[in-house]
Amino acid sequence: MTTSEFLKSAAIIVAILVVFGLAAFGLNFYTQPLIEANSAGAANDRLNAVMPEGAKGYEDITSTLTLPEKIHPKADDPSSYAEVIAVHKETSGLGYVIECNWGTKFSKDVNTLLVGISAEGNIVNINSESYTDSINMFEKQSNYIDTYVGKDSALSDVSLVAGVTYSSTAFKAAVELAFTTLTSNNMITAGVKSDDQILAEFIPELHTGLGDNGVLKGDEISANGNIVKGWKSKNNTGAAYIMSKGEAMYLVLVNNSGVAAVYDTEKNVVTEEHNDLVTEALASFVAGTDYSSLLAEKLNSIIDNVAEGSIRMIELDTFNKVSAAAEFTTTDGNTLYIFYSQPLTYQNNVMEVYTVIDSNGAIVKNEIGTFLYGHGVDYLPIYNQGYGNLNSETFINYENKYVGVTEDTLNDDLLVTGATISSSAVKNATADAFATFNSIKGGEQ
Amino acid sequence: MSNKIYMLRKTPSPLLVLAAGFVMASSSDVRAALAMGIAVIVTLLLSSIVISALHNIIPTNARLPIYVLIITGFVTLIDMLMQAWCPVVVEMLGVHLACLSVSAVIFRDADEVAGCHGEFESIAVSLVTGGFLTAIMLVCALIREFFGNASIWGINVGFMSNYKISALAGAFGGYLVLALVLAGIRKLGAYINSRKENA
Repeated sequence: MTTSEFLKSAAIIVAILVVFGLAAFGLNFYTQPLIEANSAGAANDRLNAVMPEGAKGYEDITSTLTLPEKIHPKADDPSSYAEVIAVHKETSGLGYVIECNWGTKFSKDVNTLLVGISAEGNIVNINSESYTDSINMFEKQSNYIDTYVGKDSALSDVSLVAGVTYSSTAFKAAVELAFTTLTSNNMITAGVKSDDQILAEFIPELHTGLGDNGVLKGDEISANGNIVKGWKSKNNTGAAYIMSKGEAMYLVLVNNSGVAAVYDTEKNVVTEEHNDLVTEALASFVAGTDYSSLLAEKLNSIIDNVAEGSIRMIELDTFNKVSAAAEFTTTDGNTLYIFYSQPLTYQNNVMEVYTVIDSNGAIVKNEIGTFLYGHGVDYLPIYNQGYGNLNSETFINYENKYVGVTEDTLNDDLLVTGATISSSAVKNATADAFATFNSIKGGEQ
Repeated sequence: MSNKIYMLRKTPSPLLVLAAGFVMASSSDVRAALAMGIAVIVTLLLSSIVISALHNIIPTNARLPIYVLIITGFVTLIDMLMQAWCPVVVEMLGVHLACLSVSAVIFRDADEVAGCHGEFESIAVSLVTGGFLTAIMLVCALIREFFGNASIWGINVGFMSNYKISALAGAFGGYLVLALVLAGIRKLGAYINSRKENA
């Protein structure tokens, strides 16, 4: 290459560099703001997904707020939790986006969700960004998130997903915590619970046959007459009805013996004042299941010395997991009581527990008809194959641990590691048997 | 050499091999394929015009760095515009958009056509080459997105979601589909040639 060619090449290269440099410099004035806006928009996409259209931008206000403490919504699952980790305010005043973490003992990792709440205090949308629980509640009930949309902090008519109550309880608790964050910092007005919602929340506590660790479980009954809502238990322990009378609403509980009780929204018993509601509720309930033959047969198989003809069925006046009770005497003259309970366990499967209690309130025998461990399988017949932490030998020991237990000594030592849901169900059923026993003894006095 | 044959220079198959990298990279999604196709056409067109306008004053020994500089300049400007107007596609294409600067296809057109012929010829060849590559990328993208991602233009195709072959959306699937399309083109070319000979 000659010197002139070299200089010419260098001049062309420099000229090209200058031209493209100037072009890029000029174009940058036009494209840079757009590129920056695109970058900001991408970061906001996840927040925009739960806000109304037209959201302009977001400000992270987490550090300026007092966040509620982490909660553990399931009493029998200490690993279940819900917590708020960040709060974003939409800059034009459309509302807030709250980021929450939650989990259960079935979670493989932290579950995260974004709740978009409008400035008026209603849910715009919820996005479950990460969900790792072993059973997918969003597949079990594909429209579950839709049931939250539009609701205020009262979350009226938002229920749990049947069969996935651990996950849906923690998920709902996270959404409630998102609302608590905003209401406790005076950013939105709290929603007001309707009377029927207040009454429905009483049910798991007042009729434990329709409740499981504070969660209402039952098959819904369609509205009819004064019945606004209703639930029939899954375990033949009765039903619960939300009924209207004039402008007031009442909760009517019915047990398997066909005994009813009426509660008002203050949780006061008002049965005598509203016999018309009782009559209507019992007409809807029709009749309980008769377990007299079952109890007689069971008693003769588990108690050696039942005096012939001594078994007398008892009308229940309690509202719990006990669906039948009987009094009987033994050939040596002792009076005993048997209680038949059907607690719900894993994925709403029904177990059977027969609790025999002596007149002093101590358990003589706690016979477990089915013991469900895992996926709804009755493992009792195959425990000798070594499933779970119970084999055939230790299962008998497990039942025998209940012998002599009284209401005061019923404690968590009776739970079985690796089968906590089923063994908790047995323990809760036993507690209900004691409650029913106390009611019977109280009535006798 | 007839004008049509000159335009394609009997090389659709080698052209695809030269362009295999960015055809594979941009054919997992129809939107990315279309955007890359437009970027290739515009880069080819502009660089061909400039190079054919300057080819008389560019010293032979300095052709390579100057061509690369011109192509890189245009790719940089196109990249800036695409980042401003279609950031989603830029994200999909990633580094492959910038790699157009050193694409053998564009350099070949610059060197063989624009460096020796006038602007009109260069423009015609650029459009044919760019159009051919765009069509191939779109065909590959349609196959890969539909069967690999169960979607078209980013919209889910519900009935395919249980039958998608995820490997097709990856690099292996990209080369596999490209090879199949290349085989199809060669077969078609052989068929056309045999018909011409028979005629």
